[in-house]
Amino acid sequence: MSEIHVALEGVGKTYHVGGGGMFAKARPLYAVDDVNLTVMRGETLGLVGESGCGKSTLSRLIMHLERPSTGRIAFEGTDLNAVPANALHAARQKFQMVFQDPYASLNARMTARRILAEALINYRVGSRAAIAARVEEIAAVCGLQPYHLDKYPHELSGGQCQRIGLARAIALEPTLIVADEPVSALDVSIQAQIINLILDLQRQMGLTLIFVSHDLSVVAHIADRVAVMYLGRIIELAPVFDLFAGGAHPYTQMLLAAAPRPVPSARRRGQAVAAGELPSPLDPPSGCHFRPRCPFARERCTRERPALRPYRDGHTVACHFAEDIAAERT
Amino acid sequence: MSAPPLLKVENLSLRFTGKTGSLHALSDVSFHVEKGEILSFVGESGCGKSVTAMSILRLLPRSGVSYPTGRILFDGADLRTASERQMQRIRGGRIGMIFQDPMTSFTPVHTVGMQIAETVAQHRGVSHGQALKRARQMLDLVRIPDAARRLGAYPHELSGGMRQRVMIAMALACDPELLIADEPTTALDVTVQAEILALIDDLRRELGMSVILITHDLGVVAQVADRVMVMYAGRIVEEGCIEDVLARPSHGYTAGLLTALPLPGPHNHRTRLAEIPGAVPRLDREIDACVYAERCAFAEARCRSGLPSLAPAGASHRAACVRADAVAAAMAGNDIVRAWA
Repeated sequence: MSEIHVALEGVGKTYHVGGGGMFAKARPLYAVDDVNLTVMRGETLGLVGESGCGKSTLSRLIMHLERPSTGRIAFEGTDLNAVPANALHAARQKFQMVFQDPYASLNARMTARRILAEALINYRVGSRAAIAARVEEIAAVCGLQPYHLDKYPHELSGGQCQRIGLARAIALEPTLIVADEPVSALDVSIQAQIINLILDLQRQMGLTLIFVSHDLSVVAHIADRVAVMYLGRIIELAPVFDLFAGGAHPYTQMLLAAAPRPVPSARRRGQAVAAGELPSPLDPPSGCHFRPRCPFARERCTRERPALRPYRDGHTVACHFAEDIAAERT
Repeated sequence: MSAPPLLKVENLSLRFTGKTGSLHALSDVSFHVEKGEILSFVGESGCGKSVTAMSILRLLPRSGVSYPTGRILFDGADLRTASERQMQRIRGGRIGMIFQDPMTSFTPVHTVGMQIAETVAQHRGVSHGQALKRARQMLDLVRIPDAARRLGAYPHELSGGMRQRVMIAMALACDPELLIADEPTTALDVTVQAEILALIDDLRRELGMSVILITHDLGVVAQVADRVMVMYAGRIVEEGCIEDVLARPSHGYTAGLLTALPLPGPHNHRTRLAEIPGAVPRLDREIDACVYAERCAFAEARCRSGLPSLAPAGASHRAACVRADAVAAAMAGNDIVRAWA
């Protein structure tokens, strides 16, 4: 795991919202703000945070479905936003995405067979017979029976649809998969099947995986490293066990405390752990974005944006006072 | 708890009938809710948990729905045979409800203050001014900052967590004795979820009301419920005090749910999770066997011949499983079970 697969340098994405009326001025929304991140080949990076934190926008930037407003994204060493469109099209085989809603992300008018063939036809990977054989092969790898292939999405269960979503993602033998909440819409027993399938595929194909989820227990299970986002910024990045042992950023600590766990120690301590709501991303607080909700905030947090800085080995945090807070907690 | 239970459901069976046949959505469901307790229904999509709640509130359409057996006794009176007029007084009055998606439960064209006030005026027959005053008190109660101003807000102007608070405020505006909350936090972020669950828990203490909390998330159950009722394929498969059920799960399905959960810790990291094989059974006919037998890791021949009844599995704990002891013994090493034992 020493080779860099994807590298993000100072990546930002700004949308302009409002400004519909004659005198209304469009306001910038910093959906992703100065993200620096490297993903190593074969690793699983978990991306967590609450709605609106920018994790989906960041996924779409990595998938080159959006162009960054600032910064650069190098995929296998190449800045694909700087190459001609046909070169980007060719490179897209290498990175694929799996979506949250297994029904909405499949074409309702196509059979599963047609959905899976689509990507292969697009990239002209072989003769009609070769494509048909490949479709059956990837379907089998993803635990689908041949008769499933002749069904339409609405005739299949959520779990089966998500298997098709995964089969489609691996059809072109990518090296990177970004999975955006792939199990959030599934029941617990089906969730376990899909997580197992993702783990199996990753091992067989040596895939790099970016796993986006708001479910911390799933991320703790599957990820090697975890990035926590808050209002467009990565505020902590750590090896999975370091992060789930407590986290260094007060926001990470709040998230971990709020996650419902089926253990007695988690009983009835809700009000104590969560404070306040996410501020509007159109009008973020100065300095540290988390400051208004942070029990440890001081004057410096208002003035100065904390940089993502080394905290421990392989562990970075964007908090001025992470060491003091850790000392206070022990 | 010697007082009679607030709600007592006896042998409730429900069938949906359509052109192509009928569906046994609920089979012989019996349970009760004590005054002041939180009872949680858990199970997967289609297990009957929401349909049970809808039956209590009589919110299901009349056509195509039949109840071959059962009574729903609310404070002694059978809601199954109550008149529509009586039900209108009960819904939103003595029984409040909260649904998963607060956006679709409000009308977008009125302010939230108007919507709460309308409920109050409807049930209490008070003046508009008094109803608005009550609406304002309710927003304070659910800890919405700057309540006076929020009364004039439209649903789309509020965040998801705020909308869910307003929905709770509306459900509680007429001092219900029972609150039915169907997946109230599923659409919310974890920090907001923690606050809403704590709020429901606090309010039932302050107001002494009972709560039915419907969820698919065992973490949520463990956080606030007093008792849990595990449902599968329209039946109650296990039921009891949260401490007893999690310390000694006694049905193959409960065991399956618990082992399918990802658990923290290096020894569990990236290991294969226990899957529940197969799919839920078709409910188009009476099943004369354990409904879970086909998927159960503990099933024996006798599980497939004859329906197991809910039998005691502990002091305040029942399970419909002939292999209850074997399940409990096998689950003793599970991390969650060990935490509760």
